[in-house]
Amino acid sequence: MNLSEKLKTFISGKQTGNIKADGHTPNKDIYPVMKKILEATTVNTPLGKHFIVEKIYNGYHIHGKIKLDSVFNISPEILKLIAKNSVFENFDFSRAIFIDTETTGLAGGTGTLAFLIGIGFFEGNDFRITQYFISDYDEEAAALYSLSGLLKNFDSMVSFNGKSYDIPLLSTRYMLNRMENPLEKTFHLDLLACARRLYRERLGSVSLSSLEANLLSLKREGDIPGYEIPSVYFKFLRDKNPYPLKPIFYHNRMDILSMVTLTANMAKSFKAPFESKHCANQDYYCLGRVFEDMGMIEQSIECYEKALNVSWVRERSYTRLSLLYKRLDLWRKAERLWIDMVKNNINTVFALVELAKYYEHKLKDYDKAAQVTQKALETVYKKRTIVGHSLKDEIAELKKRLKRIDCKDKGGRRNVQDAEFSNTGQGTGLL
Amino acid sequence: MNSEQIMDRLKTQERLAKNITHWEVIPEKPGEYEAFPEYLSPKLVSALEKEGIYRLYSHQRRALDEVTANNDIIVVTPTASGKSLCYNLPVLNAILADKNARAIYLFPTKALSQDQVSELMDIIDEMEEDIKTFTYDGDTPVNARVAIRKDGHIVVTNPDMLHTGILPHHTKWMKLFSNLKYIVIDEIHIYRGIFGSHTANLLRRLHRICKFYGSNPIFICCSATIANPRELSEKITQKPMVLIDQNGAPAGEKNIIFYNPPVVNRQLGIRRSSLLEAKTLALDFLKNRVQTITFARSRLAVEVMLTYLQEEMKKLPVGRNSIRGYRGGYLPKERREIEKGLREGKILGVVSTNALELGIDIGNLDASIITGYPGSVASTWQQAGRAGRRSSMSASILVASSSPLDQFIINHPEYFFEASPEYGLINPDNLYILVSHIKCAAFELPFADGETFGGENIDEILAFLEGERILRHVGERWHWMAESFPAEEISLRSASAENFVIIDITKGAKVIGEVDRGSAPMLIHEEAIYIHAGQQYQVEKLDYEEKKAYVRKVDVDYYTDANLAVEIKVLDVFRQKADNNQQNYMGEVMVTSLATMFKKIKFFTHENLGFGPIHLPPEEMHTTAYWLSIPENTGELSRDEIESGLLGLCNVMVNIAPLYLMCDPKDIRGVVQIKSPFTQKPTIYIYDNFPGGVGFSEKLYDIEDQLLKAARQVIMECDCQDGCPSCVGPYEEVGHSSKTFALKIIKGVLSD
Repeated sequence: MNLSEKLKTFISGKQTGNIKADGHTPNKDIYPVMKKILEATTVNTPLGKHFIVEKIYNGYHIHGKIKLDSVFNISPEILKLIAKNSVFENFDFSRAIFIDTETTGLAGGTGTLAFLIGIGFFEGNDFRITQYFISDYDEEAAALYSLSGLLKNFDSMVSFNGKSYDIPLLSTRYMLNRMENPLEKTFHLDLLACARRLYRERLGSVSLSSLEANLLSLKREGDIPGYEIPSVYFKFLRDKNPYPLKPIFYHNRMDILSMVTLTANMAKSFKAPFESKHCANQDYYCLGRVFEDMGMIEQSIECYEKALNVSWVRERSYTRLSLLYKRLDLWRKAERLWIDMVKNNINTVFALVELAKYYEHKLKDYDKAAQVTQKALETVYKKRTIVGHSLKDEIAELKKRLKRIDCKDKGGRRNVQDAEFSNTGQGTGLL
Repeated sequence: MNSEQIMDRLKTQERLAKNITHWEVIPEKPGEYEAFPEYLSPKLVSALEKEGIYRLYSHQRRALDEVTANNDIIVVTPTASGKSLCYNLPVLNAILADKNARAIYLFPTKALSQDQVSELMDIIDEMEEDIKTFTYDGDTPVNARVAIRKDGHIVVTNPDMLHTGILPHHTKWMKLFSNLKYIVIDEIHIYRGIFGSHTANLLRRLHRICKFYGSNPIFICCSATIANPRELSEKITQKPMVLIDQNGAPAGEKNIIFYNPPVVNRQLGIRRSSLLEAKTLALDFLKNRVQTITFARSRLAVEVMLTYLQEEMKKLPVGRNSIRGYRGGYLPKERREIEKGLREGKILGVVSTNALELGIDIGNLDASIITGYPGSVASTWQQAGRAGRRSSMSASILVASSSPLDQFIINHPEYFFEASPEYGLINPDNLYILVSHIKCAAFELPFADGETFGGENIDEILAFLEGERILRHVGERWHWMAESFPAEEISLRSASAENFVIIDITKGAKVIGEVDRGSAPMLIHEEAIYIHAGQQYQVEKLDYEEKKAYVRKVDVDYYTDANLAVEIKVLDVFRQKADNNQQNYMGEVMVTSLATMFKKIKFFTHENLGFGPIHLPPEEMHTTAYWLSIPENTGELSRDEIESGLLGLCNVMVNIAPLYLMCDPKDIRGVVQIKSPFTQKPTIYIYDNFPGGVGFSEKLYDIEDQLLKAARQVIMECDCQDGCPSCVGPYEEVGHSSKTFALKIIKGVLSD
């Protein structure tokens, strides 16, 4: 028995005789049909040939109700907010590429490659998308070579999930081909992270298609679902019929165009949160968070206040806003929120404990402090009957607090200075 | 009483003394020392001195010299001989000289790697050097992984992680692979059979990746004593090895005692429980405050033994907590606490599974009691090695169970004390395993035309995989062309991914174990009694398509035994030889097995309580086999007599073969044909019970004479009347007088 017979015996039974070595590529020249169907041309490089498809869009081309070149109206201030990072104020869209790849699998690892790399960039008044395509594995080095050449002219990039997917994958490909990696750019704006920060509460899913549908009111026609892409490419490798590739090229271009206008859309949300229709409901809580983190307190407060009325994020908005007031020493405002919270049963125990701290340490009104702590304790007890589990730590903490306040109350009547005794580190409460 | 007095009493007390089949005294041995070599970094020397090490054992020095001279080495020395310095010294010395140098440490289990890391850390801390050692395994937090890939000087991991987590992502580990200077493989004797065959292929993949990054690491391997440490390590690493087996560590006098519990049922060959006997022996030591480790073979046995010992000890002032259990399933923190307690002498006794057999540091104890032969000579030595002070005498007692292998060893101490008969066997070219790893390798780096894998040309396999649409051949290279991630579909611990899972539905649904596809019809057919960790379960439903067996806890007084009709077809003969009257072959076979019916057999009495049919499709397995045929007129026996004799002989051979193969008895199977379609003669087949074979049958072919002689001894020396499970098998299975017929067959075959 020779080896192939053995191999067949080994495999037989598992797969039902689909083994027909049709792997042999038809020997015909695929260039004419590639040109006709995909408008692809070949590029010669020192490392061999590959295909390229180029599309030029006007800067005022509208994609999802937004003009492509509106990204140039984004001010440095807003860019900082989108990226949540102040170095991005120097980000320049005329020196940036938008990048998206189509790959042979989603599993990652060294056995996955990008067979289509789409790069979009502004050129004068136009937006150009260049798609590097390999019609077989041996064209990869050539395509990577061309990509390197193009990237020399840019210092920034924009991607959607590129930080954890496209860029590491391409870096691996460069390394496997023993080529220098051109992807280490000064700026990399990964829109997935930005979109997640801004829209996750409202949209739930922040996949590009969900963002397109919900923010840009876009509906693609003739698209292909991402998970089908590898098998379509594998089939192409075998039969070299480019028709089924058409939707992949389209898909890749749409992804790139959407990145452009998604950026513009985010900019609008930040620029004029209350006038723009690009912002709604839960977004205000998210905006509040970004503003707060970036130290823009006024805007942050404004957004949180608006979010107080949005049921999904109400509790968190109340909580964060009250803590923000507390940090700013705006105690009255904070107190009003906590009382509101107790009244409306929003994160009640937290609010009561905060009130207790306020009364105990700030106002030194121990009666009131004891009163709210007692109420918190009762609430926890009630919660215990409903939730079932013991909540032991929470109860112990509250009891300790109550005891301390009691102590101070009595001590306070004897000697008011003793009130300072409170700062012994036990005051951390339930935060 | 001290241990010497206890041993004296063992010798003199008749009840115990009559059960002792062998008493070996290994005399005290002084240490052989060498100075630190001049090339050893002064920093390392002073760190060692701070730890109280002022010179090296001769084997440590030799290891250091060889590795420094760029030779790959295999170190074979007993437990507690300072083995880890053999690799830590050259590795640390190299990293001190070149901070870019990198090393991978491979340990077969996670627990072991954690222990070794802490030892290594101690030396590094002592030197106050920035040498980063990290464990990289399934438990490593994701946020720590980036730092490990970039900065880890020494990456401690296991083969499974290397297989799925490191090699397929090698570009992320560029720094490691570009600078990889050493690969340490500890406990290399564990890498045998299926696991070893996989590991050899894993290292073939590693070699390709190292070559891509321009590194050529040196291998430092350590092994317990086996017959072929160099051959095994060379086969696994594909590099010529320098063997270092002259142990320079000192040792106190050591007593190794073989103890065979008395027979309680002669007809069935049943002896008194080894667990109870071991308990009595252990208590003798413990009650006299002699620090003792007791090994038991299963987790359940550990718990039972622990309960017994604690019950007794609680009557004494030291109390029940002076005895602790140790096994997989205990929390790491608890384990560390027990290890420390043992080292410091605060814990008097420990009961353990083989978890404490491998190099976890618990110091040296005074006595070890081994309940049941651990399955291999190497394991037994490792367990015995847990007892042994440098300055005083120590004792190890092996208490045999009734199983054939135990009985053979306990009555043939020469197998144990003379050169090890055990071969670590692997078959890296097992086609199933090879093809799996060629897939993984192609995923990692495309194959170039003409490129070899493990020295072999693999064009045909690559072409085959292209036909299967897994690879694509273009531009003189073979590229991975599938969406899947091949390493995730391949387990290093089994031949195929096709295991049946056992789900306990007594209360909720819980997976309690796995059974390989080949054994499923025998063990988990519907109504079968499946025994797991000492608990009986009945199989309620076998979902053959989904490979799931649903079982429920039961408590019954019988077990089930399936009748398996096995057909064996010779596909190819690789080797053959003829002696006098016998012909020996080794080659490839197709085994077709069909479970036909099962019997319910009562415990102890072996009464047949009933039977039932099994409706399952036949299983086919392509594997390697050894077979032996004899003339039809052998010993002037009738056809039935020959059959009975062959059956008995086959049972004995299969039972004692593990002694040479270092395998589990169920890893090989025997079949008897009274007129084989291939040889046309009465024939015994013994095949590797793994698809593709892992090298067992080839070894059996090589040692057939030895095996037959050993079989003869077993049969002749067995005390039973007419066959028992310790020799040819119970007469209900093999017929009357099988012992006699088997002996006649052997006589006809052997020329002596």
